[in-house]
Amino acid sequence: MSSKSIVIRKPAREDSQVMVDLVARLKFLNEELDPNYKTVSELQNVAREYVEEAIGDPNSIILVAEDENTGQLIGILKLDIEDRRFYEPKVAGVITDLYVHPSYRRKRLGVLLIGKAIEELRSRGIKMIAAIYPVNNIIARRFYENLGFTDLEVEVYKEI
Amino acid sequence: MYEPGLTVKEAEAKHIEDLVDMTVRFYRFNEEFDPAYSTKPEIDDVARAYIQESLEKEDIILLVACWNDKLVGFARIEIRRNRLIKNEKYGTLIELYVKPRYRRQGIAWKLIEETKKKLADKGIYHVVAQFPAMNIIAERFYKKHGFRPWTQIFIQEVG
Repeated sequence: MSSKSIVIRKPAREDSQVMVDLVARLKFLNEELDPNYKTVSELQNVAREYVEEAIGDPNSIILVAEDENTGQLIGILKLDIEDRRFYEPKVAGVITDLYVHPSYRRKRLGVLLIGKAIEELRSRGIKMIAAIYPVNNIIARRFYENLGFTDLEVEVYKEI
Repeated sequence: MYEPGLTVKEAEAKHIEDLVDMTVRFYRFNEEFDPAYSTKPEIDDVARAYIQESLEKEDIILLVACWNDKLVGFARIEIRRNRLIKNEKYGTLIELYVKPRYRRQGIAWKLIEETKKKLADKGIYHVVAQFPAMNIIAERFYKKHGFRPWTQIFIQEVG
């Protein structure tokens, strides 16, 4: 597979199941990275709701990566448009989910997905992009650092 | 900190299904770190044979961590040998896994302590841990528990 056969596009109705699988895989990965990400037993159903809500939400953008040679969906990006009214720019696109199937890693599909997301945000006049990932996910950290993202917020957790 | 309900012991045939489940989880996690760890579609069946064989082999130690009756983690150690070095045998932790909700309670360390005991009983001098280079959680864990980097493994696609 060369990256030439990859197309990044908005999802179609029939992409739902694979999108749900990719989101569930991402949440399973997070679970391995920190016990505070222990997944719910009905993860598949919740992932389905999540994907469907995002598709219907004008403040969310979902992009998928497809291998045109095989017709397989191999990656997903979801972002939410976030209000940050106290700061300039006042709106940002926050990547909440970015996942590429392990067999298709190291082919810059993540970069392609982000590139397309940036295009999409710019077309809506949005001038900032952010991403959320588990602090233990060193692969995500390196990926975003390489693309010029810098640390901004810290979120801390404690069970009560 | 060890919980009183926790025991670490050698695996038995009755643990096979739980061990298969945890082995698959372990490899699905490793697969996230590098495409060279991409798992086979039939991983469940392969893992079953792998665990069954491990129960029978002399040079493999298979330990389980049980919380009361529930299996919560395991370690699989291969005894390897390099006859050119002074302490020629060493035990390599190929798989070590604790279910996510039982993490941060010292269970993995309990598995390693038991591993060290078993190796010492066999006159083996070193315990070795291997894990994907990008697994920073594993790296921190082993460093915190007094392991040091020993052998680096590099990889490249052929052709």
